[in-house]
Amino acid sequence: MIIQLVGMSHKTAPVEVRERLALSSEGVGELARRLTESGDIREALVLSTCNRVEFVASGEPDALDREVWQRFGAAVDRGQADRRMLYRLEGRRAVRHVFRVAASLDSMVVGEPQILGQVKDAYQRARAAGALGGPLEGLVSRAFRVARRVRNETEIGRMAVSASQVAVELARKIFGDLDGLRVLLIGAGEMAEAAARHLRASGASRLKITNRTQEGAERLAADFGAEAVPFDRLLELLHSVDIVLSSTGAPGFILSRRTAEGVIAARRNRPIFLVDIAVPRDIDPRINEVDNMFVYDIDDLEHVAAANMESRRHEAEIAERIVEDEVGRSLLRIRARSADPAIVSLNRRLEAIRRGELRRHESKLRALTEEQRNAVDQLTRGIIGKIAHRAIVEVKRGASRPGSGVKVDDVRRIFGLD
Amino acid sequence: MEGESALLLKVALALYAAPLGEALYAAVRPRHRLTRAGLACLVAATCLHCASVGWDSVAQGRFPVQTLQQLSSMAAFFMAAAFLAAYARFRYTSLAVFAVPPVFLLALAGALGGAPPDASRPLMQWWISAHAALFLLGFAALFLACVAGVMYMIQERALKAKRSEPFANHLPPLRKLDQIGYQALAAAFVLLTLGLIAASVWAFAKWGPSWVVDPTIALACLTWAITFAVLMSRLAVGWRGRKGARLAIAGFCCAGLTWIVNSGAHTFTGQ
Repeated sequence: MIIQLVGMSHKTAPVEVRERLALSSEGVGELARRLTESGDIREALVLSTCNRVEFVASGEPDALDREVWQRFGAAVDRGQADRRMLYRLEGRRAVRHVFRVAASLDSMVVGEPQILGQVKDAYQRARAAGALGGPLEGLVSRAFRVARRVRNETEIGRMAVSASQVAVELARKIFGDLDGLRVLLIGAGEMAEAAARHLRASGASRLKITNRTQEGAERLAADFGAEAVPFDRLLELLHSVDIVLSSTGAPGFILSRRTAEGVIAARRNRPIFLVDIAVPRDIDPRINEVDNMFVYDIDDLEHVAAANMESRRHEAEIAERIVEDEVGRSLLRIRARSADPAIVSLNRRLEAIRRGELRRHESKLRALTEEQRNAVDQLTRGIIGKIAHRAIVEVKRGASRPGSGVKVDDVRRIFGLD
Repeated sequence: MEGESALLLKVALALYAAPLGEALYAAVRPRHRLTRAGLACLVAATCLHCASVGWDSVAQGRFPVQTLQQLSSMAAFFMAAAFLAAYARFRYTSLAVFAVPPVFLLALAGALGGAPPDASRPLMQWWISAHAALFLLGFAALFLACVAGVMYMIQERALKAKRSEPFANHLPPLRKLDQIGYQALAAAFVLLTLGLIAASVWAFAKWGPSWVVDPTIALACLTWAITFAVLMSRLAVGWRGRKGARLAIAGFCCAGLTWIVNSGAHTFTGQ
């Protein structure tokens, strides 16, 4: 019995190949159950996301590889793909991979939070289909704990890594709770709109839109379900809004430092966050020197995102150490448990011998009183218990630390277990 | 100091050590937050501290600020209470990084030996006790405003410099810090004003209308004037943010000097 994994991910195969293997979320439970029908595979779990398709199983060595190849070989071969796109891992390496995937260390964007939910979903579907119930189940629930540890003990998922996320994070640092904040979107642009959506999803729901052409503003406002305001009222708007996202195609600054100083005085110094996503820029960067005005342009946002990405990489190193630590512990546990079936049959076998002997001497024992018969029963139990004890201790030791103790197979042979 | 109250203070000091350790750890590893246990220790320490100063008051029949030790202990107690009040209201444990170490140091100074209070000194009148208590409370509120101000400056500097600093990442948002500072300062202003009135009534009764020239009194008046200026500038021209934070820090430094000068009518006996 060994933990094994076969799969392909964004690291080994292009999307054209991955999509041929991808399964619906309903299909994964059913497939996991079918994999266990072969007999050589005891448990199976199938994970299918847009970045990876992976099969994890416990069973006879190479059994999973054979099964998967039989079922999907044709699909993989049809493209320019080949077998090298599939990775095959066993034992320690398979366990490590499962932990790394759950902890989002193998993700395209390291630290993204969705993958844990996807692994949980795959786990529940496999369990519902009856494809788990042994060491693999313990391993996967362990993977959830590893993911939790990584999330709690590192900052891996905490820092924004896209420009629009960074804008939201900065707004939080200035204003705290974004609920009820007023946002002004000047002009249209993919990133400005993404940031506006992000802000709205975070609670800043009062959105106003202005544009150098009124039609543009109205079209955008209709898209967002927001209020369109004529461009010549811009200054007036700046007195009341909290966050400004600017991305016009204007050739020069639409907000100069002198105007900004007037704006902040009129606001009685209530802070304002100006995000300038336009190239060429809309907002004079020197406005950042004015108290209570915070100006970030596209480069600033990208720099923060890049710095956060860098710290994610650093955090990932800490996370890898956590994973390594957990892999060691899990393997010990799995190995120790691998002796369990042999121990159960050993106990059964000895008990059968005891009962057989008692039955054989039944006629002689009949003369005994109830009390004496109980004593014989206890005596025989005691003998087999003492014989089994040493064997169980040794076989457990042998299972958790290969090279020491007694091998499971030896115990099976000595006691004639099947 | 009476034996029982000294013992209570020492136990309180031992309990303050737990949140102190956490606050110092959080200064190095900004991710760390004051844990529930740390907070519970702080609450327990503050309660014991309260019992200690209460014991002293009852035993001596006056507001116990006769010696420098008693004064430190009382200031530490009010500052810890101010922090807990701010926590109850705003729920930011990161204030503890700056608030707990001074509380601990002052409590330590209060717990270290100290001569017994001079029994021959005349009992303080009610007015002068009220004056001392109000000023100490005002000082604690100013302390809180200063802590919020320092944190505001750090957070604002990181935002203006467009750097992602691990320490600033775990500070409260600017708007909240501004709010904490403003409310603490408003409380300080009210307390200091009442304290000054109490002192004036007492001084007038004792010395008549002659003006007492004394650096401590001058600094106390300056502290009051600064808090007044901060509040007025905010209400009248909307000064807030960095300027407000700077003024709050200046106000607290001035208040600190007032206690350090320790002169004239306000001389406290040390060891």
